[in-house]
Parts: sequence; structure tokens; C-alpha cells
Amino acid sequence: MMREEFSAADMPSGVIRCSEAQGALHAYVDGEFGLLANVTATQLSVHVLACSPCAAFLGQLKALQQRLACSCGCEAPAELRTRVITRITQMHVNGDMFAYLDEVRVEDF
Amino acid sequence: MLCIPDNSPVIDTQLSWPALGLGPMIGTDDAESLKDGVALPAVIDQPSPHNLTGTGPTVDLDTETPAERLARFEREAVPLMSGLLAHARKRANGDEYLAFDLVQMTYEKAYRHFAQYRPGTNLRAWLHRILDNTHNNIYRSQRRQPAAISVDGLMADQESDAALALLGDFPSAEQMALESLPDDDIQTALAALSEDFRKVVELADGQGYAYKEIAEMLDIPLGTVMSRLSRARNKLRESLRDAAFERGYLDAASAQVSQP
Repeated sequence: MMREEFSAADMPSGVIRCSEAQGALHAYVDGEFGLLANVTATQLSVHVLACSPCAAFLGQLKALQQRLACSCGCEAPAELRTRVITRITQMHVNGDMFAYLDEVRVEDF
Repeated sequence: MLCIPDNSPVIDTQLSWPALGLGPMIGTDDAESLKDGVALPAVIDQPSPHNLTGTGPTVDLDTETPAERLARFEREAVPLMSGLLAHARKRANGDEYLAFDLVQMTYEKAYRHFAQYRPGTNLRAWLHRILDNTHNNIYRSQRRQPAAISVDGLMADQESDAALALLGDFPSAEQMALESLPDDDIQTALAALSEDFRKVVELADGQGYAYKEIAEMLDIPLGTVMSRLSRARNKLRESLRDAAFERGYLDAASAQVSQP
């Protein structure tokens, strides 16, 4: 669906267009938002919260990224795998009696 | 120009301001905010008719023993670790130790709350959501430190970040289709990309490398990384939309290119 194009001069200051928002969303899902000089996070979230095509676009990007993350054949290092499995087994054996340790760790991060 | 759609995600759900990270949520403890990470919106909890991500036999959650739950967790959740690590690397800005910690914390939380996960729904999305939430919590606790609070702009950015983090949870038809397509279709779509595009996508989305690292690895400018990545993703979405249509996951209307 095409919308009327407005030039930058027609836009109220601080409002960004869908094309700008979608460009920024690519960087946003990559955690690279800091690289963008022309769009602030506030501008982006104001736009995306109000614009359902851009909100849908964000969801699609995230979904695509999740699928690709599992599809490119890169394996998590064995070290991490072992660490996670050991920890979960520990939680299982201990009935997760050390759950409070995680809360402490997250707070202290 | 901005449109205010009548099916805006904010309106048709029950998001509250605290849930958007814009108020009282600041300073809540981890256990409380974790609820956001685990209790997914109802819409994503609906088992999708062609959902291939939550496999396995039907589970009777009432009679499942802890040992059986552990086995089910290892069988279904642990194999998704590579994807989670790629996601964590993005969130961690290239800090490999933080990425490992994020993955581990995600699995700990997921295991602790595994009884709340509804079998047959999208386990991958559930795990990724917990990871995002874990990362947001770390942000939040950093924000309580004076250095971060002194910059108003930074705070606004982090609040927006929390708001945007939630938006992906109201899936469009295309998003649902993306989530349930078989891996083969993803591979086919990747293979159809030109070499240049595929490399960038594999490094960025497949392995979670930062733009700067990719630019160095491929010896191309940062701007080229960004433009190749967005063009590659648009091509992938296009071919996956076609694949979803052929499999009957999307109707003709939803399969139309719906670029705003």
C-alpha cells in the first residue's frame, strides 16, 4: 500500500517516515542502534508504536533473525553447552534451592 | 506520514505503562520483572496450526515428574542454544563473556519456569523473549547507578528500547509464517542469495557478529554492511513469503508485499 510521500520539510520536526523507521529497525534488531546519527530511539519508538506496518515489520525482522540464527550451521561452543547443562542439572538435583544466587547476580551486574 | 491504524498493537492488547518500561517498573526486582519474560501475550500462546517448532508428544504437565521435565527441557530447549547465542552476541555488543552469561541466565530462567511454557507453542520465541528480558533487566539495574541517570537522553533511549522490545510479540500473519516454516525453506532462501549478501547475513544473523567486525572480516565499509544486510533480509522475506504461500501458511492477501 502506498502512502503519500512527504518531503522532509513537510514533516513536523522529530517525526520520521516509514522508510527511515524501517532502516533504523534493521540496526535496532542488530543492537547497532548507536551507529545511527539521524534517528533517535524516542523518534523510532513513537513511530513504531503508532504505525502498525512498521510494528509488523519489526516482528518480521525479529522472527527472521531468530530463524537465521538457527539455520547457519554455527554451533554454540561445547564449553557453553556444558556449562548450561551442568547448571540445569544442578538446579534439578538441588530443587533449585540456590535460585536466590541468580537474583543477586543479576542485580550486581 | 504517520498513520494511526485501528489495529495498533497498543490498542488491541492490554499493555500497561509499567509493562512498557516507562514507569514504576524501574527498580522492581528481577523476580517480578521476569514475569514479563515468561508470561507471553495470549496471542503468541495460541498453538499455531502449522507450528513446527514445538514438537514432541503431548505432555501431561500435571503428572510430569521433575526428571521427565528435565529430559524434555534438554530435548527441546537445549538444541536451540546456537540461535540464542547469536541473539545474545547482538545484545552483548561483542562482549563474548556477557553473551555466554546471557545465554546461561536465559536457560536458568527458562528451566525454572518451564512448567509455564505451553507445549506445542513457539519455544524458540519464548526463549528469545526471556533473553531480551534478561538483557533489559541488566540495563535497568545499570540505570540505577548515578552515571547512567545523569544523561536524560540515555534514559529516554533505554525506555524506548524497553517499549520496542515488546512490540514483536503481536505477530502478523507473515511473522507467524516465518516462525513455522521448515528449516529447509530457510536454507533454500539463503542459498538463493548472491554470495555477497549471504555472507553478510550469515555473519550478522547467523553468528551475531557486530557490523564493525563484519566490515573488518569482509574488508568492506560499514555502510556497505548495513545496506547489504537490509537488502538481503528483504530478499529473504520475499522468498520466504512465497514459500509460506506455497505451503498454505499465508493466504494470497497476506502474501502480497505489504511495504508501507
